Amino acid sequence: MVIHQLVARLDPGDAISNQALSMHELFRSWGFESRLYAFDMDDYGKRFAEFDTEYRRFMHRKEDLLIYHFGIYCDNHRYFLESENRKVLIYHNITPPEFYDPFYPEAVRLCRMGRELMPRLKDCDLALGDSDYNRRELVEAGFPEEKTGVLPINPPLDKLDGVEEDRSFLRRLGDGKTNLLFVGRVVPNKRVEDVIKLFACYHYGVNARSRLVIAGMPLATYQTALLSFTERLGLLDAVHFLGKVSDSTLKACYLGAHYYLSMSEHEGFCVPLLEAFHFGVPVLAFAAGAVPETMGGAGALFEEKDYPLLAELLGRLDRDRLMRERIVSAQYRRLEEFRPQVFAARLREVIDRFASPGAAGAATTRDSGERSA
Amino acid sequence: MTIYVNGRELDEHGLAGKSEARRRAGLYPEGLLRLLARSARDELSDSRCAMVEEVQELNLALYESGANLEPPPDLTREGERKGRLESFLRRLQTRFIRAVCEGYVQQQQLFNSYFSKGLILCFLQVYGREEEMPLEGEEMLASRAFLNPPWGRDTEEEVAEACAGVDCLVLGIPSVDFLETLRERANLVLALDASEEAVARAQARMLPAWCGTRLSDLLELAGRGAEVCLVARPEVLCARELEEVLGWAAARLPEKGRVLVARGPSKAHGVVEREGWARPHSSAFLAAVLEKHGFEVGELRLGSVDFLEGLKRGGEGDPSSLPGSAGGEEG
Repeated sequence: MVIHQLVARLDPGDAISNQALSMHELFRSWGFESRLYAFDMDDYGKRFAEFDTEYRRFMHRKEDLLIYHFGIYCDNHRYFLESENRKVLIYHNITPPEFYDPFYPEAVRLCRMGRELMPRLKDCDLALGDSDYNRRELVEAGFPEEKTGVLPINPPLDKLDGVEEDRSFLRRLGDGKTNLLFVGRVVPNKRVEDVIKLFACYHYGVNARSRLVIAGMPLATYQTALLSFTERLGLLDAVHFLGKVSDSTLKACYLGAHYYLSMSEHEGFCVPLLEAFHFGVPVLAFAAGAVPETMGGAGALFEEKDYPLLAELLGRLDRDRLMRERIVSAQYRRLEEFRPQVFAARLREVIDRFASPGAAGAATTRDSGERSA
Repeated sequence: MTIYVNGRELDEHGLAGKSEARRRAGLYPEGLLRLLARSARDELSDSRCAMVEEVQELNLALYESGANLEPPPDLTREGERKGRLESFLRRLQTRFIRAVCEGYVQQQQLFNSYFSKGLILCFLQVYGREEEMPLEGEEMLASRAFLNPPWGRDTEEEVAEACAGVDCLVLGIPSVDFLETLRERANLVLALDASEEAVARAQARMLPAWCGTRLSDLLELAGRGAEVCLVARPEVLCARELEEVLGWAAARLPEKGRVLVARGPSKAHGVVEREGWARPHSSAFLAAVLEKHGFEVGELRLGSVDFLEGLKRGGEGDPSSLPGSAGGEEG
């Protein structure tokens, strides 16, 4: 059996790409022939993947397995629809299009088309969400519940552990100021302006010796608005937009951060939360989408955005070392559930259903306990 | 509002109380609260227009000054080494302006505005900050030498008394104790300083203090007026900033409103030009800026410190050239 994985785009730092790559490595380590295809990729992606047209010659092999990572509309979904392989869909969630309006009309179109496409993909052997939140969206889109399950993300923490942090940047962060951190694509659903608002209250009301670091690939129009907003708030000296950063700078960000903030209003999983857990950074997050599920009862979670009150919570954490330590301990405990071994065991369980003789088409997760809480 | 910490509901009454106390103390003024309700969508439409206007103005200014917007073929000036940052930035500026002027603005204005703003910010953060940090040796001494000496208790008491019973804005924090005294005697609306240390100490005592390097912007953001504007440490402002702040005061103080500007030891020479450094402003310059903005200028001694007192007359004065001072040429 050859395992094929199909993604829209493969590039470094992207959660879907990381997931596909980590599965690719596991499949190979288990002795499977594993192939990875992308509609588009950069030089980094070309080290691991082929363009999706290469998949065409495998489409009619009934014994093969095709895994389609679905997170945005892409024309290569047609391979998934037409393939005669056994088929697994992994749903990483599609941002509701209205978030991108008016910042990025093309994304509005792609997200809308992606969501409209979802019901047409239900003819597959298994559909997995990387959170239960995503799995429920699959069911709402018409996927038979008994054919759905959860395969959580395998956060690429080893990769970050393996690089040396950017020491000069870390030194700059270590100047005695309190560093608040946001990591992720700078896109409207992440509500980065709300992160800036919370920081404004903290900086002006509670702790002037503070800065906000925002690390992640920006959407141009949205970042324009954020820059303008930051300027209007008089915070251009205190808010640092780093753009997309290298792994070593990202590691320095986490090592130098005192708090991680998430104000996102739509998340299918949110890997940076786990990265913050890993580096012992207390997380304060707005409870939206899959965020509460990913945090699993660790960190600080809130359901309203009362910025002065949340600034006060940060101030309390500044003073209350015990509370900080309790949060960090709980985050470490939660992280245990995302260890690579746990992910590997879950993935293996899925693959064994297809690898074992006569299992084609019979794979479900309900009776196997695959679905996680 | 419910906050869960490690899955358990946090009793946030204490937090709410503190937050309310800060609000009452003036740390979250109306201007800031208004911005908290603003969305990125509002910002996008505003910034888009603002950027295009700025570029068009820049282009017009360059055109009127006879600037040649065409970059030389090898992108260097005479005698300039190839590949230097300046050359790159000039090329970028030229391309950008041309792109906007030639109609790309309709298609690519979003990209352009992002790109230019992002570039400016990155440049300031990478190069600007790097330059500000290492102050060593003679530079550091020079910077400190222009700082006015701390006020004595007698000065603090007398200044607080002079501001008693009115709304008061403080620019430059002489000491946190002084702010507390002022809060007891007057209505301390807001204290602004470029020093994070001073502001953090004030915030710890729930005093309304903000930190920033563009004080006039912060004054706008705070959206608060006052009857007395106390410029306690003019030496931390460059001439342009002083101009802006006093311009703001002229526009916002009520009639008969007052500006008190502390005078440091007189130093007419040894100018340090860079923003963020302490710099001496001569009394003549301070008085001229006050007069320019329509204030009637007098002198006053409170405790052991001399002040210039500006009493607001009706209407602004005629903006004319000012006598040279520490940063007078900048202004």
